[in-house]
Amino acid sequence: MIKRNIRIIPRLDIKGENLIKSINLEGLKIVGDPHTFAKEYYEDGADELIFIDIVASLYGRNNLNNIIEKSTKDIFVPITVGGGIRTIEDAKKLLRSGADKLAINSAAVRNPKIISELARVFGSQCVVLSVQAKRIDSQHWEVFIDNGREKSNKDLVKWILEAIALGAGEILLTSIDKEGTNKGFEIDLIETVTKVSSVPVIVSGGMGSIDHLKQLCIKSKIEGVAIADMLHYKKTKVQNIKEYMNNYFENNLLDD
Amino acid sequence: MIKKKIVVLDYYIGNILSIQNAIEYLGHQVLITDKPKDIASATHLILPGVGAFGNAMNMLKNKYLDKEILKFSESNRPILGICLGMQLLFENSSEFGFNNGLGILKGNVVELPNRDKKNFSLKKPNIGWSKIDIKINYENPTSIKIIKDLNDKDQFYYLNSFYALPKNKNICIATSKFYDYEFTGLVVDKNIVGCQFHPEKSAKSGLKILKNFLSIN
Repeated sequence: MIKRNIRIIPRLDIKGENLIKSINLEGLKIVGDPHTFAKEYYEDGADELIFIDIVASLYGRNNLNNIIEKSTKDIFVPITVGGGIRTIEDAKKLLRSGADKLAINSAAVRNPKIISELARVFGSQCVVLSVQAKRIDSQHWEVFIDNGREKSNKDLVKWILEAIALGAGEILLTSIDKEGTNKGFEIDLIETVTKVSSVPVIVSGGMGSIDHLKQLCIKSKIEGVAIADMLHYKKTKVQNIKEYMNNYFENNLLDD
Repeated sequence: MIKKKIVVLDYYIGNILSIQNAIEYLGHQVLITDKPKDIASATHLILPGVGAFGNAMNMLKNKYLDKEILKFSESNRPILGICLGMQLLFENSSEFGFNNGLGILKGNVVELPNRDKKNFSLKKPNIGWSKIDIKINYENPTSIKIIKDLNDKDQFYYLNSFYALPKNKNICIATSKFYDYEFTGLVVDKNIVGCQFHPEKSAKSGLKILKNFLSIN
C-alpha cells in the first residue's frame, strides 16, 4: 500500500508572447501574460511548470527563451519547455535560459535519434517525450505531430516503447480527443500507456473537475497531471487540487 | 565580517542558472566558474547536480578541479553538493560502470531498487516531491544549522536514479522514500553538506536550505 504523490503541473501553451488556450488543439484564445500566470501558480504550490511554444514546430524555432529567463528569476520549481526543439543547440539554449527538462514531439517523430542524442548529452531525466494521441479505434491510438495537425503513422504503444529505449525519461501524454473539452480524462488511453511505460507518465487533456482527477488516480498509476483550462480560467486553484487529493489519499490508500 | 564569495562549479551542461537565480534571489552574488584559482579564494563552494557521474569526474580531473576541491574541504570551508554534486563527494559510484569519486565522504553511490518488496516494478527515475525524515546529529552543529526553520510541511524535489550510502550512518541527517524504500536525502559531515534533492527547485523549502547553507561560516 503506497500513498501516491501526484505532481500537479500547470501547463502554459504559448503563442508569441501570450498564454493561449485551445480546444482539441484548435481554436486558439488569448488568456494573458505567461509570467503573471506562472508566478501565481508557483506561489500557489505548483510542483512543476510546463511551457509549450505551440507554433514553434511550424516555424522551426522555439521563442520561449525570454519567457523562461524571466520566469526562472523568481520561480523555483522544475520547468519543462517544449516546442520546436530539433537540435542539441536548440536544447542547450533553452537549458541555458533556465529550463530543466525538454519536451519533444515532432522532431522526435521525424528523427528519433534526437532522443538518444539529447539523453546522451543532458541525461535521460532531461528528455520528456511529448505524445499527442488521437483514437483510431477502440484499442488503438495514433501519434500526431505539429500540435495535432499532422498524422505521424506511428502506433502509440510502439512509439512510446521505442522512445523509452532511446532514452526518454518521462512521457507527457496529451489526449487530442479530450483536450480542452473539460469532459474528463481519456482513461483507457492513459491505462494503455501507464501499463507499458517504465518511466513516469504525466497526463494532459480533459480535466473538468477535481473529481475527474481523483477517479483517474484510483484507476491509473500516473505520476503527474498537466492542467491548463481549469487553472487558466480560475475554475480552481493548485492549492485546492493538492489539498483535496492529499485528504482523499491520506484516508484511502491504494493497492499497488 | 569577511564578504562571502560563493562559487558554483560549471560542468557546461544542464541548468546551472537556477542555482545562480536562487542565490541571487536570497541577496548574494555568485560566481559560476571552472577555474581552480576561483575555488581557492571561495568562502562557499557549490557542486551542482547535472549530468552523469563518470563524465563529471573526468571533467573535474581534466580541469584540475578535483585537487582544489579536496584542499577546499580540508580547510573546513563549507561545501554544498547537490544531487550528482553530492554523489561526487563519495568514494565511488556504480552509475554507467564503476567510477571513483572525490572520496571526501566515505561511502558509495548505488542505484535505487527496480522492484518493491512485493516484486512490483518501480518507475525510474525517481521524480517528484517528498518530505524528509530528519535525524539530527547533535554532535555536529552544522547539522543543526542546515535544517533551521524547516517544519514537517516542507517538501523537496528529487530527480534521481542513484543515491549515496554513507559508511558512517550518523552523517545522514535526513531520508526520503522512493515508493516504500528509504534512501539518503541529506548528509552533513563537518562543514560538508550534500543533498540528493534539488534545493534550487524546491520552492520555499529549498530556499530555506540554501539560506541556511550560506549562513555557515
